[in-house]
Amino acid sequence: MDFVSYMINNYDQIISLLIEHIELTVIAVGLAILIGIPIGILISYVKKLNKPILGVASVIQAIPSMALLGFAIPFLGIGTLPAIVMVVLYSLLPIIKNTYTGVNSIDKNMIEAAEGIGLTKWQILYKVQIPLALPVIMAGIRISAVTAVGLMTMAAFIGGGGLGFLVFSGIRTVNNAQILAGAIPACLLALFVDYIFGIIEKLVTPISLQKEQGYSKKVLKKKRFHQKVILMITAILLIFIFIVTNMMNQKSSESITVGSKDFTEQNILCHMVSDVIEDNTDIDVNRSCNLGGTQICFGALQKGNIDLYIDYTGTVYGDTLKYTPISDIDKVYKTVKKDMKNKYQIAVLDQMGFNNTYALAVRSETANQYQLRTMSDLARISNQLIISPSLEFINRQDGLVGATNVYHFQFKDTIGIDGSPRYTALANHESDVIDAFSTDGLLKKFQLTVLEDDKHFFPPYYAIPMVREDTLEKYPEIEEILNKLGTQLSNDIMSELNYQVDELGKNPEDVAQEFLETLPNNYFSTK
Amino acid sequence: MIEFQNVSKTYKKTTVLSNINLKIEDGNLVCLIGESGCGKTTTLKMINRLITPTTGQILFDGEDISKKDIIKLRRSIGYVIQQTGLFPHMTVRENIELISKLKKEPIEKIHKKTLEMMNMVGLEAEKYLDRYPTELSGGQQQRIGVARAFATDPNIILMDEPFSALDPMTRTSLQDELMKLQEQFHKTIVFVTHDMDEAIKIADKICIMDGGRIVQYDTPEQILKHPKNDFVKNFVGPKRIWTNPEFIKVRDIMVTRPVTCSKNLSIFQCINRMKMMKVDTLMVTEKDGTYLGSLHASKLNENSDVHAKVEEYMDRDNIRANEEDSIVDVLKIVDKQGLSTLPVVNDKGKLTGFVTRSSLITSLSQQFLTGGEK
Repeated sequence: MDFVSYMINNYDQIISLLIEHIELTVIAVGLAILIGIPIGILISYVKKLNKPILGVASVIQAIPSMALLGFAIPFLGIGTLPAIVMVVLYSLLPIIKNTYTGVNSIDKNMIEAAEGIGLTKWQILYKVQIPLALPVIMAGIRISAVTAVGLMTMAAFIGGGGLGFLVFSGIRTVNNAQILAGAIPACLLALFVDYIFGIIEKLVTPISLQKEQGYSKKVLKKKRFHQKVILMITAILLIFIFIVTNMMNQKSSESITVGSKDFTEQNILCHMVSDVIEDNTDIDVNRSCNLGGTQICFGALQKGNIDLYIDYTGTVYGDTLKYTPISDIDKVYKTVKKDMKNKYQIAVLDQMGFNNTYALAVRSETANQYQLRTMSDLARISNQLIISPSLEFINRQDGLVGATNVYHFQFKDTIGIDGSPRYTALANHESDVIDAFSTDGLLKKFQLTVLEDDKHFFPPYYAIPMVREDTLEKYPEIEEILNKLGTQLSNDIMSELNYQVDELGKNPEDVAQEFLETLPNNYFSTK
Repeated sequence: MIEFQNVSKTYKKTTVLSNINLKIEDGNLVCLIGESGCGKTTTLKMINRLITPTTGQILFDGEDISKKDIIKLRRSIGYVIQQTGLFPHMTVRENIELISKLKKEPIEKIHKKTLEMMNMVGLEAEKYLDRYPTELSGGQQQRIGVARAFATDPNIILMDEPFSALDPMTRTSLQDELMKLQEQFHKTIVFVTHDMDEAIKIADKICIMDGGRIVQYDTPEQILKHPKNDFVKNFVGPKRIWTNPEFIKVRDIMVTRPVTCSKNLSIFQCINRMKMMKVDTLMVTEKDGTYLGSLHASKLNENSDVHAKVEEYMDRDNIRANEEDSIVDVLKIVDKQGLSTLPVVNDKGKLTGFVTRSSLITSLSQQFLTGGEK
């Protein structure tokens, strides 16, 4: 019943995401058709191209969609464009293949007859080959379209929106209702798309070749009329959706885009930063929250897909700038600020009031069983425990790699699990230790014990707003507002806010707003 | 006139056609016939340039077709093939009107022509125009194929085994209709078939092919009577002529050198001549051989004036056969008139021979004797 109440409370968000999802899918499948059919026709004429092109299309199909998206970010940035490109690429194979098969399977004698009575190649193509191949081509498009609906949920991974947003957010916050609220409409949409394309497939089959035995031509014609009505209604609805959303999306030129990484705290910060800018300036804000990991966000910032996001000093220092992690708070911040300015033309504003550093956490019962308080305690018995850290943590110098050097961990097994599912794994006793952020609300939710970093290994991870310099030149007022916001935040406050989202299931957007309402009136006013 | 000049076709190492020389006169229906792989279809498809000759050229009225606009050329030639020629996703009307519409002719003219064509091939326009080919029988489909070929008023029509997939009854009736159309329109038709009966029935000339060469190109009659070699003889079959008795002409079976007399001869002399030649009938002719009538022994008796001239006793209203008439015609006349002797004349009316009941029986019995030998 959780799910039903979630649907009822968030129906407007679900509907707008559904519409977004439909639009993205329509555009992607439309493009795939425009590209795939000509290619299919081409390879049915130029047989030499047949194998290489089908081969390439098959290889693309075999690349994991995550990898394809990650690969596309440097070229295409983030948002809807790479999502559409990805879905187009995946949709090509069935369309190309079916076009090729359809055109090729037409009786050669009939084509020769068409040639013999004086049709040009072009006329043979559109008067004979395409009409006769259309049912087969449509079957390919149908497969592509249904797959595209499912695949488009990946768009949310790079801030492209759509129903995947709910699925991804749900996975991160271990909120099954939210996952279902994204997945079920996506499934229904896929079924509907299948139904609609099934109708188109029937309608494009010449009535003379339609193999529905037991129906007279009259009955068939009547059926066709009904099917055409359904198609018309669908088409009108689609056009309506496109027009309405386009009118709503008339962006004002005075706008900036705020991005964020893909976990709860970042989500809250994304909305919080957006809200204070919107409330206290004339600037319109586009929210590209939940983009992905550090590299995705930083890449997007460099490309100008987003104008600002919040990062952490230790992350920028160790990960982006590739310095060996150190624990000197001041030195880290100054280096980051200087390098970002000189190397990337990115302004780093004041450190915010909380330090979201890494921590290792175990179940309370584990802590009791082994008398664990510090990470040195953990090292003693680490060979009896399984760790399931996030993939990023495994590979970072200031993560598991460095920590192992300092504390000499020898875990029984290391299983990388991305995002919140590692908490579930811990709760299910599939693992015993996870990495966590010190402000993480899930720590509270799952009642975990955080182990003290007694050798001060983890570097400082103070939150820092990273803003493109050109954006800051255009909107200098942002700097003061964000610096003021930063002073109001602390580890305790962040934990509390995270807890509200992760444990109480509130919206990050609402939590951010509620927090801002606790601040004094006119707090941000620049005078 | 369509003219093949030294046309050959080779695919890599296989020679499909070698050195074809062929003239097809305007208004003729020419059948290309031979076993499969003999090159007959290749020859046909060269006419509308579906296949390009490796060497040699094909001329229409002296003009090399390879220099003509290929699309215009094809649209000026009707093309009928076995069944698959109609487009299944188009109605009968759309199939017939396809080319005219692509040529952007006025639509009223096209519709009028379509009705005319349906009428021509004997299908009710109202009933069939909006149907799809799959809803028609094989015979009806092929009628539509013919209608489509005629719809653009081409001078030349190519037909590639158009009737071979039909049942014998339908095939026969379509052949009959094609002949009627041909009588009316006098198109130049090139017709590929493997059925000798069909070729003999409809063709003005038959071109027998084997292994990419023309073996014999002649009228059906000549091919039946004077097969050029054993291949043709075997291909035609020894008894073929008897299934087409209309090709057995009176000339072939008549008794030549009839016993004649001049109209001025006396009866006495006639009786003597009858006795001498052992006949009961004399053919009366002018000096130049023009046939006048006949004198039968039965007309003469003891009371006859032996000095009278033949003129007075001969039958003038004599029924005669032309030497170009067929054996069938003669049998009909003999049967009807109860004659024992039938004089045969040529086109100028001159006597060239005669047919008797006994000579007819001798001829007709040939078919059983040749059959026995084989």
